[in-house]
Amino acid sequence: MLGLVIGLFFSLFFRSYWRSTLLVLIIFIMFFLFSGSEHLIFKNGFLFELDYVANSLLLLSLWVVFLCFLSRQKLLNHRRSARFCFILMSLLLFLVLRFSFDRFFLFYLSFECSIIPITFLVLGWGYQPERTQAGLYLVFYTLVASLPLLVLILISKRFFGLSMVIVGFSDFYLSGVLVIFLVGAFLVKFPIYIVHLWLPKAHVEAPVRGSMILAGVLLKLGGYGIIRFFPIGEFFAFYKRFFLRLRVVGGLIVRLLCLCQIDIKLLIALSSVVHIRTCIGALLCGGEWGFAGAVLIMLAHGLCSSGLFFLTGALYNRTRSRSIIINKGLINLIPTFRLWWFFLVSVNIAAPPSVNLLSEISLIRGLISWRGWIFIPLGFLVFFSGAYRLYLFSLRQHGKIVFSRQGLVSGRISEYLILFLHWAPLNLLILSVFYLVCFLSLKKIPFCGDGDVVTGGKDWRLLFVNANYIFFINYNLTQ
Amino acid sequence: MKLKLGKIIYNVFFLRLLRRRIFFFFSFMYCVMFDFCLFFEWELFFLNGGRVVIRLLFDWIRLCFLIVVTLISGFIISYSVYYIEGDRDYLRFTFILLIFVGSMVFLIVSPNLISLLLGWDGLGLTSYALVIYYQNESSNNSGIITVLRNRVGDAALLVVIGWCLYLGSYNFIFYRFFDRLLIFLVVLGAITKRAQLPFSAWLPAAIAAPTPVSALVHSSTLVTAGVYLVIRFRGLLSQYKGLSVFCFVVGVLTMFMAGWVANFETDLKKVVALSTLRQLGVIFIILGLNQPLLAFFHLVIHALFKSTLFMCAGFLIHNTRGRQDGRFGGFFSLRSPILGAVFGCTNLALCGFPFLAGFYSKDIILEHVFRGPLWFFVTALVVISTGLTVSYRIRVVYLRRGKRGKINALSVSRDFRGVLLLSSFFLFSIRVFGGFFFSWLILFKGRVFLLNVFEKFYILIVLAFFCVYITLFLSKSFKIIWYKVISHFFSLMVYLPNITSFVLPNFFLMSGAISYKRVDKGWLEYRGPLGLSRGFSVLRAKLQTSQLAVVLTQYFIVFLFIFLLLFRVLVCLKSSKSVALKVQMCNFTLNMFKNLVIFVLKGQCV
Repeated sequence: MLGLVIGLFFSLFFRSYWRSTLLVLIIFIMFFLFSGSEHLIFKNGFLFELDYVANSLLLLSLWVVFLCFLSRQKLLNHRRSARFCFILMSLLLFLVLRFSFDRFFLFYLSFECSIIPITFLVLGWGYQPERTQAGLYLVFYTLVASLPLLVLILISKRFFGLSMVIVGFSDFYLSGVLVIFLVGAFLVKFPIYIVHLWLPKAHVEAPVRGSMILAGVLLKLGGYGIIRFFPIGEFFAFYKRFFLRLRVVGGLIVRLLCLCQIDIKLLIALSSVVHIRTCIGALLCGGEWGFAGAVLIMLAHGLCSSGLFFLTGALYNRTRSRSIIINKGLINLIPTFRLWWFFLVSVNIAAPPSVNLLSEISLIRGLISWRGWIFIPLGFLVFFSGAYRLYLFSLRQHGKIVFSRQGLVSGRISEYLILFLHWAPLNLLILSVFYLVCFLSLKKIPFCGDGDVVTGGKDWRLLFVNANYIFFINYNLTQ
Repeated sequence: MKLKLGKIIYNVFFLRLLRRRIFFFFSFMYCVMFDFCLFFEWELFFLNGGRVVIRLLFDWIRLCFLIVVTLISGFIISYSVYYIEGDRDYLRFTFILLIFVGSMVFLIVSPNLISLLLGWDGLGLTSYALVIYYQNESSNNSGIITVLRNRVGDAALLVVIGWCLYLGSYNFIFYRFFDRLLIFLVVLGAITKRAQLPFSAWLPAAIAAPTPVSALVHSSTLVTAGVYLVIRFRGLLSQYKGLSVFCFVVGVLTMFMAGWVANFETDLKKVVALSTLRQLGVIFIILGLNQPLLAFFHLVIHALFKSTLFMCAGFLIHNTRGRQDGRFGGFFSLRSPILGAVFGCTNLALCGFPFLAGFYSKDIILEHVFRGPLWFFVTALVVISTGLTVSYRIRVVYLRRGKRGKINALSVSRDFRGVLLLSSFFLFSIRVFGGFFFSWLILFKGRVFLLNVFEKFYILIVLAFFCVYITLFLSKSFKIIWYKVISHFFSLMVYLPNITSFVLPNFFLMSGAISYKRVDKGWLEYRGPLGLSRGFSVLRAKLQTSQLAVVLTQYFIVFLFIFLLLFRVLVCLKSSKSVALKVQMCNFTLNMFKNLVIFVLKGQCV
């Protein structure tokens, strides 16, 4: 872990050579993929610890940043590109630190530090006055909500000074207004409805790679924070009902909002608000299934929305517009792009062989275990989330073409590669999904050869059976 | 970089599907004879007591259905050689079609909800991609209607899966007892997929797809998916009488509506689509009577003749230069006698002419309905809608074969394409003989009905009445004054598409727009952070004015004055002895102080 951090730190100095940075990133990803999360905590050393949630999110952030680097196609201005590399790599460094620190204060520190690069990303590439506003919204919304958390951490340093695992074992609970302070920081980052305004603005103003990172990884920080602080609170017991109602009502409203947008980026940004909303609900009351679903949806949504943003960027490069109306009728001009839109949109509406479907099912299962009646709003939510994504897809592909530009370049192979790298993990991960989310339950699988328990098919679980040891963390998640 | 797959792709896939079909046929015979079934399972993961497993089950019902699906899809793919000829994107078309068939196959063989969803969602999405195959706005709208209706069913199924996981297992074949609500949701999903009454607008809209797709969708794949789901849930469904009655009533209403509307429809493909809707109503009725095997039988038979009808319709559309209006389709039997014969026989089979395929299923179904413990009104509806079927069939045949139709002055008809004849004629022969075959295999137990003589002849009486009626109607000697109003009402499908695709979406879109304007841009932004910053800027302006030079000098003078005064007072107080004087001095000081403060504040405001 330390090696990874040091490596990332040094790679900051190679900032003018983005190809070499790419290589470094690939090496890191390989390292992580092959080391895997066979143990629940595979490194639990000085200041660092990783469990499967952090591990999968870490992989996600490495992957998304890697794709961002890959999606750089032209190096017009060397200095600007170097600056871009520097910002991305520093962002990645903070993200890695954040997913791997085990002290609450350090966690908080890297949590806030990751805002700095993204603010630069939002502010730096352009000169419109809206950009300033977007940057201000971003900084103020997140900071105002998270400063009370800092106070909280500093006040009760007796507990927060410990490593996160140990706090999970202690019977230290927060209650009352303090809970709002604690959870508010993450809910604004997530963002929950009412305080979501910074997100569409930041997305609309950020460059494509900025939005890729923002949607891919940064939104997941809030969820990760809630997961980390979960052991400290039986805290949601009081506020659960309120938050859930807010979630349901807000979810419906945001979905309806999505149906009225004509800016593609705005639509995708709002749709990520919707996604996150279900995730919060499941985290608050879902039990273990909801928890697994939340982790899965963070992964799935990260890849998927990042891919959608990349596609929007590719369209923008061609037609110089993000409006749905101007980008109409592209089926005849760039048919391959349509295929990719269809793939990504269908993954996003939870079409079958994708992690999104599994996450949605487990979220529904988690939420239903809270109250039965919630299936009615859930059904509506599933329907409307399908509706606005199909609206996004169909309105653009069909209809009359606006010939505002005379020439169009068809898709490049490198773009297809990036899209494939977004799409393929989503559909392939379903085969190894237990590898990501349910290590806690691996111990329940008997050894092969124990009789007739394993039925049919090639049994590749055998490979992971040695993960049966070390389960000493308990998230207090089951109700 | 173009794929080197030419037109040969059709032959390749046709032969592959043919091979599959032969394999399925023999395994089907084996399963029926030896009562054999095969069960695969593959565990994906296991969490907290719920396991996510892909399961596949092959038994004789599934294999029988697989035979039908592969048969029809094989011939339809070979028919597409004729239909999609000259199109630029034929590869896209063929691949989507194959994915469509593949997901149907997956849906058929899956006994649990998750692997069923794989086929279910796959069907929804690929059907959407097929409906929007042509690049124009109307096909886009039809596609959106189709996919959103199907999405309702998806949502219901997702909720059911989540709930089942909560209960423990979503392998519905293992459930002996199910929650009523869940069964209702399953039925809801089935209703949306098979276009029963509140959701039936999408089926006529989905004919915007190329004709081979419509043939596949209407005969054996998409709409039958819902039926199939209910057949699979039959054991659980039959426990709740209320739901059975619900199914029955929905089926009757759909059947009646579709039959009635089809009499006023002029679009050729839409008539066929409405007849599908009607047949689905029949199947739903028989499911409501708890006869799933019979429903399955009718499903198979219906699949066989519906695909041929669509093939003929596609041929006609090609020959009338892409017009779908039935009134342009005259002289069919003159232009292409072979297909004309096929078409006529298919229509007869659909009406239930004795010893053609439709007869075997329809007769039994109707007798079931008469025998069933049902009230008179519903039975009357069923009988009347059967008559309506005959009337619109005759109307179609009349328009098609009669000499009243309008055709172009120069019209060329090419009947003798080998592929076309092969595909339609083979299906035709199956339709003639398939009735015996499947009735012997599926309904091998035989059925006994006790009916009185009058009940037995209900149908014949009604048929005769409707034959006379439609003949009069067509020869225009039978005039109704409010005919125009009625025909407008019914040719728009009882205004159902208007309600479900204008009124409801408008409501939601309007509420979305209003909430965007009022809540998002208003309360959350204008009154929220922007309002806050406005308030702060007012405050800031006040503070800035307070720091002006004039104000500062005022402050300075005033404070100096106060200070001197206080000093003086303190000295006086210290030196004097009497209490009264002290009090007086204090009061004086306080008053002075107050006046000064007021003076200062006023000055600041100025």
